[in-house]
Amino acid sequence: MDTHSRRGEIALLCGLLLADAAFYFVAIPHGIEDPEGFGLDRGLPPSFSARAAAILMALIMGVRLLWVLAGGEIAAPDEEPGNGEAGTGSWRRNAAGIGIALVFAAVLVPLAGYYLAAACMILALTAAMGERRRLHLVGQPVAVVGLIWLLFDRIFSIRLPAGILFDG
Amino acid sequence: MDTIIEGIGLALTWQSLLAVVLGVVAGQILGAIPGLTASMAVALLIPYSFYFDPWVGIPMLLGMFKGSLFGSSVTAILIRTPGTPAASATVLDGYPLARAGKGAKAIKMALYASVFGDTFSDVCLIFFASILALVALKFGPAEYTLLILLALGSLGMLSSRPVWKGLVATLIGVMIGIVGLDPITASERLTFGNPELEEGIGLIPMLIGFLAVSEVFRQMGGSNRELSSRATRYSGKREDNRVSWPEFRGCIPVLFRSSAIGTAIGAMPGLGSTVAAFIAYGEARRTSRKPEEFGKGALEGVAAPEAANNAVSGANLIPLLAFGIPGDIAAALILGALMVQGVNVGPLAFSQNPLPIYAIYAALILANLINLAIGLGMLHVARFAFSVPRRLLLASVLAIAAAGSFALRGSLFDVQLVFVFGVAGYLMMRHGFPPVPLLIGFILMPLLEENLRTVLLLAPTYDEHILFIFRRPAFLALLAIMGSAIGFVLWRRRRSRPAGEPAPEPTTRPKR
Repeated sequence: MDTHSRRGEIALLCGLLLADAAFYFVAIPHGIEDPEGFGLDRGLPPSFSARAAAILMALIMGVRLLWVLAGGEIAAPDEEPGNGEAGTGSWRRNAAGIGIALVFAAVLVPLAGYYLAAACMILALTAAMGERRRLHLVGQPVAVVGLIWLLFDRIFSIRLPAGILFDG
Repeated sequence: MDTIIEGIGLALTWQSLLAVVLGVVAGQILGAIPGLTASMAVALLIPYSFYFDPWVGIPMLLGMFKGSLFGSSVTAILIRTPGTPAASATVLDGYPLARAGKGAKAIKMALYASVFGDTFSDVCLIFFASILALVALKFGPAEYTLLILLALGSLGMLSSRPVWKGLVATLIGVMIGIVGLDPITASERLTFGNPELEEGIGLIPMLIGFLAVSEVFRQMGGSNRELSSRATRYSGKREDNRVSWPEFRGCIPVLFRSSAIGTAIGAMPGLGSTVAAFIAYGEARRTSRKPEEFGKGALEGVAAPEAANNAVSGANLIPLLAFGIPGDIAAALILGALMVQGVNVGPLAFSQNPLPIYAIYAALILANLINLAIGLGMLHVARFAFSVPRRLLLASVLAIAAAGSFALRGSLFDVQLVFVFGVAGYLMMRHGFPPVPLLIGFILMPLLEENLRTVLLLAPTYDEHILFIFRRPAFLALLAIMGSAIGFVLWRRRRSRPAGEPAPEPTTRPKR
């Protein structure tokens, strides 16, 4: 294990320990209210599981941090399916793809409704991934959205969001 | 005997056969769509089934239920998108097989395992329904707690190396599972005033986000050549596209064990097929001669979850037919359909009017055979459907994922959660955290918490306090089984490592 990877793991562990501490000391007290009268003899309080998970997580990461700091051997991670492909292309494309998807979910669907938003997203994503053939760029959103409309709206009467602009 | 023959005859008319075929086809297609679960598929079909004769409508529902479970594994294997939560464990080895060009082999194994598990549980249902239901009803919160702890323990072995990342991922899943209303006091937990979070975070957005959307985000970063290539590739070798007899024979012990696990879990109300699939996967890995191959494309890793999750479907009918108690939502829906059609189930039905029960048994076995035949055809459709260029498929998967996540609860918030979880899953993968343990923690946490807290609430009512659990025969029996299983594995490991041989050295990541 080279020094760079070791430092990376230490930074990751420190960051996660900080996040865990924030969860324990900020999120739990503000997010879970324990009613009076709960204790080990009266059943567990609502915050028990959250606290137990946070403490366990801190223990695991603490032990791991000490192990790494002490120079212990670090096992190579298992090969995740497809790791070989990740990052062989452009990180910009990756960021653009994620950005388009988030805009679709957070802005386009509530505003323009599912069908229009999905068509726009498919077109934008396909273009961002390098597709230049007009027939594919236009035909694919129409085909996919049409199929979803047929299945969800016509066959199963599941009304997907209409959007603020077109609702009513 | 005449009643049995007459009952079977009800399910063997051409109308009934056609209904099963239609149900299986619809189930396989709907099951493959993320967000449309087996229960939802059955619920969607129930209104249509009322227009038919009971022995056309009911076989159609049963066929659809079985078909949807297999259909969901096809997308889980080919594009890492489980159609239903029950197929999420199939992703673990099915997807690596598909990436190695052995998608057809993995799908065939999933199909054979599905039909095997289904048939196993149906046979158990036919011959042992009353006995199994009686045993299952002895299980209370203490036994459930122990069973879930066993599941979490054995599933800890699912965690990829380094183990700490798997454990941390599991605990993150547990934390996400806490969001919502407290199961005992009904007070809000980690909702921060957001009413959308009061129901808790849905399993469908979690599954679709962490498995499918994160994978799409990862693949988007591929090169132009990768993005213009086919989404799924198949090896040209014949042996990579079929399951040979030696391969199937090697999986038979796993199939029996997983089917038994699925049947046992299915007979107990509340746990469900997703839990059964993960437990069976953990057991298959724990008892395998080559556990290191799990997660990298082991056929047993496909067979185990598929046999178990399908075995649950038949076993769910055990308490339903024996006592009229549905084991899960799908069984409750089937019960509703049976009642509306005028078919009574429960202990009295066996003595007073057993005809419909035998007809249901015949329809179940028939549905398995038809599922097998149609599943092989479905494989060719899937091969064609997922052969489009990757860049076209990735964008479509996101659109379908969004629609599927909305369908179950009709919540726009769920659509947004899917993409948030997609980004979270992508970042986790980038840093080597496996998403599957996170999902296991999320699925098992509410069950564990609810049962553990019920045990603690019950404890003061007994003289022995918490030690009352040791007076329960079911608890002791389960404890003995668990102890024996763990002891057996430790003994086998000790035996398989020659004396004096050191433990395997941890490998190190190659320097860049």
